[in-house]
Amino acid sequence: MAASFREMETMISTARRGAVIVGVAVATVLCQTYEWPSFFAPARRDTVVDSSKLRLSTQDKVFENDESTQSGLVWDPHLATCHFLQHFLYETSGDIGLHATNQYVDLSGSVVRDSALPGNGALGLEWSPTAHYDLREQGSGFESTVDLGPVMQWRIDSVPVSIRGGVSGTAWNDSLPSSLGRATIDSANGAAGYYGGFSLGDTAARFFGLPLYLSAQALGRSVEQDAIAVLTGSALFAHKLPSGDSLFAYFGDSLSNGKEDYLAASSSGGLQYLSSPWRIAQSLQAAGGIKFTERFNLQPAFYYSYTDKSVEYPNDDSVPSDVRDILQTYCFMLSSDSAAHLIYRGGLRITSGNEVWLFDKDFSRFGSPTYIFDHQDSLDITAKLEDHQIYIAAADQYLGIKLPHDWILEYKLTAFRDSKTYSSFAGDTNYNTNDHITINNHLDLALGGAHKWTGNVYGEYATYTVNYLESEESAQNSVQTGYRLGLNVKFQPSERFSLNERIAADAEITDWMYESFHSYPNIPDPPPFQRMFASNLAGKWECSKMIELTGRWTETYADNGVWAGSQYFNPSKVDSMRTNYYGINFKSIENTFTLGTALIRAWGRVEVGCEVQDNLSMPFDNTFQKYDINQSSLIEPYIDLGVHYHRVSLNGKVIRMISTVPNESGWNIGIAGQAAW
Amino acid sequence: MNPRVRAIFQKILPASLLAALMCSCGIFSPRQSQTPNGNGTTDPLNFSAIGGTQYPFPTLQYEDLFQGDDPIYNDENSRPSTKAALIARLNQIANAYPHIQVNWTVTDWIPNSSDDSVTVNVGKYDIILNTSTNPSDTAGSGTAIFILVQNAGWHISSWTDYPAQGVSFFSPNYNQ
Repeated sequence: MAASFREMETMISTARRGAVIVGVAVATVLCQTYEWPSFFAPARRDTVVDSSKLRLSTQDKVFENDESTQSGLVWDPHLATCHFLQHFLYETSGDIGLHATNQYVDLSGSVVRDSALPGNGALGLEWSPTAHYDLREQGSGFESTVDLGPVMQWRIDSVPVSIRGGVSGTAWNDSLPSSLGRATIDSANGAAGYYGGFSLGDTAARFFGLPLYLSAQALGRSVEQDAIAVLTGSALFAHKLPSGDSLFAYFGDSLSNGKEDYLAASSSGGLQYLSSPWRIAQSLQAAGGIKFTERFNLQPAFYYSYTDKSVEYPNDDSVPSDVRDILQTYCFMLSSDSAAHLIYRGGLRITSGNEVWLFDKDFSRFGSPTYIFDHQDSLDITAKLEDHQIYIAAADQYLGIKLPHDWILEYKLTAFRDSKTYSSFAGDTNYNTNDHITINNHLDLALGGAHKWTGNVYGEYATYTVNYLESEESAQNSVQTGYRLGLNVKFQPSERFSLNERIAADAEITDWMYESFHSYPNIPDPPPFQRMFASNLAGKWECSKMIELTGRWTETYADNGVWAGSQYFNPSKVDSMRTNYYGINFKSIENTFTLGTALIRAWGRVEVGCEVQDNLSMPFDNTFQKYDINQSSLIEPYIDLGVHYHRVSLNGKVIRMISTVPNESGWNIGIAGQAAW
Repeated sequence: MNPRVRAIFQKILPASLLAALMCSCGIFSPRQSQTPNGNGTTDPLNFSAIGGTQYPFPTLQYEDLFQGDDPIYNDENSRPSTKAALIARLNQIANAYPHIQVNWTVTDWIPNSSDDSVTVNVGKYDIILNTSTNPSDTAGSGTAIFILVQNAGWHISSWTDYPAQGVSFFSPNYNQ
């Protein structure tokens, strides 16, 4: 769907602070490899509720020194020929000990009248006032911005079009005293400018009835000498052929270009009104795919994707940060009929490409990588050493067998490889070509059916390989092997009573690839080991239609240490030493008990309860024998409220945290309300 | 062939082919690595003593051992240095003095509950350049304060060096 004025203002705000906004147009491809990527799917349209709404929420967290509050209000009345929307957002955060607080207010809103323009167009007014006020011990500062202007909207066939523009203003003062007086208003600096933009299309609706989903937005703002613009666009073609096969093509592009001023912390601990660096960020993705119809009980699919992402700082050579990533992805997937007794889903995705730093500069004059390494005193050369080839492979395999009595046996294989090949390696471990590979095997037996007892038992075997290719760092090469066994059981003798038990046991063992380089005569460096056991028992009893009791007990035991194998120590001393055992460095036991009583009535639910945590930690000395005992406890009484009356609802939770550890007691208060009519 | 058996074959076959393809192409196999250089994992400057056994470092590779915002290293008798410069200096020391020995005498480890860091007070350190030929060949001594932070194991986020005299031997600004 087309981005709203408020969403686009957020994009500008994000872009000026240097964060990545490229995700707006360029969809991510991170998902399980047998899942069809989301960028090939039209957006879902939100359900339009024909009612007025008022949503209120507040969340307060107060610890000994840290305090944060976030309060919001959205007023969305349903009017016959008008659309009115008003946001109120108020955020505070601060450190009481340092006398530092930040406050932010956003009062964005709009009012749009239907059929006020020729061609059944709508005409309205949008406003977006915001204000920051930051207080430090050394002083305080504020920044306020406002955008105000008309908006025109049409719907041509089913394609929405809107044009907006107006005036922008900003006022600031970054050198105010800690206590404000009349001087605040008198000494403010100000600047005026303008903004404009448009949006076209809807990613949730067909473009003039074609199997095409188009969307484009642009918003720019100029205040005095600073200007910033954000453009995003996407096009999706999704068409089912008469044969049942489906064709997909996707193109997305986003660009942010410019700079703006904003209030920031200064190096002296005070505040200053700064100009963000001129930044150009572009991201492009083009993809095509085909999803075949099911043949011989199997449905294959394939897609290809090309992405090009870059960030440039044209006027900032102090820290060279221009970088460009060009990646190509190939993905093949296969799945079977999910209603059959044997279910198969599998996928293999391979991404390869290059990350190039300072891509707009010519480095050919520097010659060999060795020369580059020898001249690292140049910031450009240091940045250029980051150049590398990217190779990422991922595969998922799923096999499910439906057994009698509603039992299901499942096997999942997940493999992931992330490899980097640096082109400028010349003896520096920062740029060591490496592979990181994870392979996970998961076997699960689910015991279903309409019985009092249900559950599943599972086992997992995984390896994680770290592999540095050059000799300078290959001594760190290791294979970490993980084992996990788990059991989940649910006992439900009646609809009003249930018990759930979840047990898991973990162990992780590391093996050095070059063991001799961690052994005598080098400093003994036995490989790390760790174990974990966790149990979670939860119960619920509906004593009556009005009263419900809940309880939970979680216990977690964890330890870590090293495998003190004899091969790691001086052979002449091994006879007098204890070797070949698991030496524990650290052990912890955590217990959490929660008991709650809920009153359930037609108007809502009120739960009162208390959670008690007891943590025991034991750091060992270097003999793995002696240890200290550190104990801490946390008691959290709480009240959880959810009430509703007709179309008004209110939810809230208040938690009081009482800790035996200094500075960790506090409050956590959250309230949210909504009214609709 | 029984239709049910045939259906099973139809599904297992592609899975097997895909798995075989993944294995045979070495898609998820590590590349051949070079045998490590020199003496393998070493700690020539004895940084493991800073963490002790209570706060062990998962790695002694300087790039990962030092984690934090610059300047991580501060020599009280010189100007602050970047992490890259510090690492270059430490590697230079280790390469130039293969028999170097650094004795860190830690007086206490103080956990800071407010940010889960640990302050390590080094009451004294001594740098002996060549333990094999001349145990008295020292390159300096002093005291130091380290801040350790936890990020998948303990790491050094700050190192304040108080050399007994002049610019510290560890400092990138040290001039022989």
